[in-house]
Amino acid sequence: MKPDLPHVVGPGDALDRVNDYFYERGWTDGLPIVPPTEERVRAMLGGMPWRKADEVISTVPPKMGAASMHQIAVNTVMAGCRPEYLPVVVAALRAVSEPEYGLAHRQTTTHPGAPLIIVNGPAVAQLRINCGRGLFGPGWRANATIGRALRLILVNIGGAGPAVDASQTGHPGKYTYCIAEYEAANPWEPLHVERGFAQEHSVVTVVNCEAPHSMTENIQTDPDEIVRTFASSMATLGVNNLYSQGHPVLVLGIEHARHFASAGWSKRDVQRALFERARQPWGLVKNRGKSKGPRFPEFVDQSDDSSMVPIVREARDLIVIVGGGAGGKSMFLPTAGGQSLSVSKPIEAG
Amino acid sequence: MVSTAFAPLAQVVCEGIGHPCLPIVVVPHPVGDPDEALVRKRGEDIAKECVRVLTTPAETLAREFEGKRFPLPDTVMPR
Repeated sequence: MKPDLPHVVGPGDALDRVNDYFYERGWTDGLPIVPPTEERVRAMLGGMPWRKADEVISTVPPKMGAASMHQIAVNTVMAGCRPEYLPVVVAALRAVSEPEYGLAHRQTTTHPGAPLIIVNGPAVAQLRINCGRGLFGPGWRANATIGRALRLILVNIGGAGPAVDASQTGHPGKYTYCIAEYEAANPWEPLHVERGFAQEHSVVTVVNCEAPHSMTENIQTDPDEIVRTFASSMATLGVNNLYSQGHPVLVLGIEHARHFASAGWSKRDVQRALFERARQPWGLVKNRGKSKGPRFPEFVDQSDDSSMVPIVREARDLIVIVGGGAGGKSMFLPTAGGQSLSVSKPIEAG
Repeated sequence: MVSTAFAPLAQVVCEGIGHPCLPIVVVPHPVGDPDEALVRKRGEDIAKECVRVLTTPAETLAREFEGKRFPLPDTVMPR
């Protein structure tokens, strides 16, 4: 019996040559790609037969490259996607192309952000997008390749390769950054319903996020105390949201979500509590970080050092989703701030 | 006008907006420094080049900047 491990295959000259060629031209993310043969690209386009191959979905900055369905399919093949993932990739590209997202500056900024793709609706189960244990981690083809496809599109069609993307440090989510909401473990309405879509629709929400930051609370189960822990983790000096707010993301662990719901809290209550308590006093914030930036909130009284600065302009701006496995952890994902906001788009179904 | 750390980006933006030969004045990165005299000197150096590109015929500049490359300095991205 063969061991259950990857095994050696025959000489892969053609594969190696294609990979060397693509890598030398800066067309990859550094990882090997699936060669986009005509057959594979045609099969990929079969994932959206209602769209024509020469149809342009968006123009991608800074190179202002035309993202035709054909070009999208080439990059989606390279990423290792299955054809049924293509509508998710296209929805994500349409989302980042909306002005609120600010793709031109997200592609070229020094800020370490990457487009986080959050999937809601029936597509999560249909495509087996991980929303549970390890949702940000490896092991799931849909998560791994959908996010990677968007990255390759942004690099190859948009021209934001390593010499152009000025992100000072980047972050691992720039390889792939795709999760789903664990709707069955969410005691409230899921994100897409909160945003006005029908429960039975599949929707992509894209937010330009930094790396996820774990917030452990293994001891407290009282919502006020959990909020206290979260607020301390979220409103840290140096986090961009303290200076220009925006739409940061809270991925609420399933156990934490249960504690809130058991105590009668709604999602709105969680958002309101964190809007009120995830703050720092102006006296501590001033003359630091980006406090002299153009988007600093005008409602903060800068004549009063005790005036409190929130991480969002209003409660609903904090994106709250439920996800992950068993354990006492939730994740906070800061964003660049108000210059790049989240966008939701329906996933086309023909 | 950009610093060396952002020159390749500026070139891609120029190409993206349909002006691949747009003159780019490149200054050493970083522009900021606690020494005000040094910053002032940089400004004076840049001003001369700005005047030159603003007063040179566009056709001449197009020939000069066509295909010109501004590689990232090793201090930004060691190779």
